[in-house]
Amino acid sequence: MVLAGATFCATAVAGQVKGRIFGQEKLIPDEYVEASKPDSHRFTWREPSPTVRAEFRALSGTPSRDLCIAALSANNAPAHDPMLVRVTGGHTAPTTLVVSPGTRLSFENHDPFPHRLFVVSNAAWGPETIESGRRREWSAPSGAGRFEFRDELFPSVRTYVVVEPQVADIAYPGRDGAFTLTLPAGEFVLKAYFGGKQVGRAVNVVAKERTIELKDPLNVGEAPDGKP
Amino acid sequence: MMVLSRIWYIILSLLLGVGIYVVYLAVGQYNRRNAVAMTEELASDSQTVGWALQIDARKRLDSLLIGAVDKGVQDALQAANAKEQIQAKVKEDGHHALVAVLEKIPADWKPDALFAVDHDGRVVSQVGYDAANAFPDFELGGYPVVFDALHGFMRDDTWVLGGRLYRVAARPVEFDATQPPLGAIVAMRLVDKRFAQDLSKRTRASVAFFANGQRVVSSAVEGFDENQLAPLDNDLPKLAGDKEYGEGRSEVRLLSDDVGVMYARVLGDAWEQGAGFAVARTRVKIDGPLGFLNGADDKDKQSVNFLLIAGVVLAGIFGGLGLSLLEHSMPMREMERQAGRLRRGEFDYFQLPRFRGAYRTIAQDVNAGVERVLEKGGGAVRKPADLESILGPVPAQPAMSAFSFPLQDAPPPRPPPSGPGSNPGPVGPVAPVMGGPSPGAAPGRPPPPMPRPGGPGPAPATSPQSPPAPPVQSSPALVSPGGGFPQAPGAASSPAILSPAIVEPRGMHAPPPPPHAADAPLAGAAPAAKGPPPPRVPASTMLGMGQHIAGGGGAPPPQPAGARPPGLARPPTGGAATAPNPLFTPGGPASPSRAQVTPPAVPPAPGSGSSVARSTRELPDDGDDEATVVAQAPSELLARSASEPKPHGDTAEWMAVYDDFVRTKKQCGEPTDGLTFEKFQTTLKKNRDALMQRHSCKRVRFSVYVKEGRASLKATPVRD
Repeated sequence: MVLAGATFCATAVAGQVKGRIFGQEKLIPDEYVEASKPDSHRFTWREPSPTVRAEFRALSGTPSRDLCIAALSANNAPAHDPMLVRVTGGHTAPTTLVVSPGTRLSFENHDPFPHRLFVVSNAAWGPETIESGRRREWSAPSGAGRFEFRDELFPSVRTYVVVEPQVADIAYPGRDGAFTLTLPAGEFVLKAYFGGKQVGRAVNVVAKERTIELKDPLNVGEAPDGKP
Repeated sequence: MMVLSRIWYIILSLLLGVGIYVVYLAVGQYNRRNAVAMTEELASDSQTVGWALQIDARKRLDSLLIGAVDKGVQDALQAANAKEQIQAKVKEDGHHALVAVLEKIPADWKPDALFAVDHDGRVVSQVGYDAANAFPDFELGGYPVVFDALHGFMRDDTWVLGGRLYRVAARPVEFDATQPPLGAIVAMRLVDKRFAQDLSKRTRASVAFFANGQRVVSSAVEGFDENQLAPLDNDLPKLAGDKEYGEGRSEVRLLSDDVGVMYARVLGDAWEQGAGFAVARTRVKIDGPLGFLNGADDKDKQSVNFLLIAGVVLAGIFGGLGLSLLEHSMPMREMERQAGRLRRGEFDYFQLPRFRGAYRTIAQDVNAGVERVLEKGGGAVRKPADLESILGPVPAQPAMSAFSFPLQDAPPPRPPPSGPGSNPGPVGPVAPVMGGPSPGAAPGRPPPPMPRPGGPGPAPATSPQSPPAPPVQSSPALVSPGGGFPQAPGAASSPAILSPAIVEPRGMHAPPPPPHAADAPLAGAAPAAKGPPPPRVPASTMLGMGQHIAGGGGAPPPQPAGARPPGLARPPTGGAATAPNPLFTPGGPASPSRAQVTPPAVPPAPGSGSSVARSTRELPDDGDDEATVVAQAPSELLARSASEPKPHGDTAEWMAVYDDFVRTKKQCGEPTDGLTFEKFQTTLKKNRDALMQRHSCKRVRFSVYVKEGRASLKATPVRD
């Protein structure tokens, strides 16, 4: 699975923190929930295929695109390298990002038709046409914040950017739910973000110069306070 | 005058006004109903197109089952899953599989593009959408329709990709029921001209698709100019403020005066982009009454009931012509005809019964004018005679009619009243009564002398026993009513017309009879006259004057002398009744004219005594002016009559007179029972004979006219 176009630059003395997630089947993107409702006027016919079992018909998200694992340190982090966000297929990849202030995002159109992204409730970054193969930049402002990007031409495009000054590194789980963070030695807090919101409990991690594997997987199917 | 014609004009004008009013109402109602109809039709069209799109989606979903169970597609998706990079061979195999599937889909539902999407939403293979080849990581998994299909749902959608509308259907591709779907197969159908035409053909609606505030494609049905949808481009940006449209379907909006549209949003992602379709219809509008003519086609014209229209038009034309003919042309023609006859001398006056309304008034005025001219010229005007004066008193018995006068074989009349002048003889059938004092009236002061041409003094009275004056032989003198009409000297200069004696009705237009008139003998009863004769009027003064047979009021039965009103002429003594024919009783007792026109005395019939005297005596001076008129005869008529057969051939003419008389009486509302032609003929014959004898004429012409609402007879002597 392709993660975000750019990852944080790991220091030379950094070690890896590996972990897994579970409960991701409970993560359902809001846009698809909305699009599945009859009063959304989004379809004429929508019916389950009789040959697909019900357990497979859950509209769960794709963790490799929608679930962002962020490691936050106690100190503010400098701006990260520019990150590439692909726009294609009715969504972006990834759809949720956690970045430090000043980090530049580059939205690149990988569709043969234009897109018009904008930040919700932010006139400074209003809708502009991004032709096929072109990019549009956005820099994370200072301070913490949550930004929602949408496409004026494609309602299913919803991208969430969480600006955290202390974020050291982010990772996206693979199909198997495994993720890997590259962190310098020190204490970190791992948080999972889905749809621009934290999901699951935060996990404290002490990174070392070697690879550390988390014993317990992150339960992203529960609320941050541990409630289901 | 011409009341019916004018009413006809009013009716036609009212009908025309009502017609125009109705047409204007029809225009308003037509336009209003058409506006309502257009609204309903547009709503129906919009609904129909929506249903057509729904059916189209269903058909496309069903037809996509071919690809969902296709082995090649399944293999390609299975090979692509769980791989970070999709191998080219897998893409190639998937492409061939999609091509094969595309060929199997029915033409009506064949998509323009097919995609095989793996579980992560990546496009493994595609056919028909080569634009995606430029992007190896081209995905579709983010679209809800694909997302649903990857999670086991069949669904349709509408996309707007690059300003182009696509109808999308997707369904999962399954390989193992115990496993999640391998991926999905997605079909896209571009909403292009052909799609719009097919849809328009199926729905019989003019439809246009639009997205992002711009018209994408449109198609019109036959009879609708697609260019009429051009204003749609200007109206689309205004849709954002349309509340109804925001909820799915707008109200009818007018693109122009005659084009209405209704917008509807399409279901799918395009809903959020304000994409939709519009149906349009032309509103048939009539600008005015003439718009019905301009907008009518041949079929409309063929459906018109021209026979009905022609009937109405002809009815209007002939109704107007008929009424004008009845009220104008025919009376005018009759007046023209009678005027011609009047000019030729066949008539002396207009025949009033043949006129109605204002024409009768005109004719009466003309007649009055003629009489006035005659009066000014010194002639004697004619006065109507009463039928009873002519035919005798009307018996009281129902069997007796106005013509049931005593005849020779009739029972004797009532005994005359005692006294001189009583008429012991039978009552004459027709007793023309001179309006003035009877010749047999009591002698007294003679009537004013008639001016005598060439001589200032009054003409010498002519005794009834005297031989008739020579002029009488050639020109029957006027029997002056009342015996005292002043004759203008100029009257003598009008000899062109033979002047028959005029027998005035009793007292009509005549001066009161002089006292001596009671004893003055009538013509033919001159021996009874004792008073000085009235001034003699030269016969020449009578020329041009007509002769009236007095008949007014009916001849009352003889009255005793004592019962006579003062001044009334006293009938002559019985032996003095020399009038051979009771039809005529020469008027003035000593009128010169009378004297001149009075024919030689004819021995009275036995017992007839003095019917003349009786008639004279019976004349009540009541002013009754109904009298039978002996009109003046035009000279040319007289001249022509000279060549006519003798009176023996009068039966046919009398028959016509009889018919005319009976008809006129009926028209006047008078009874005609018992009025047989035989009696009528007998009466006329006697009167004719009397007049012929008196005036030495060859024949007498009778005619019928109406006076004071009663039928009367007029006798005209005709001499050679």
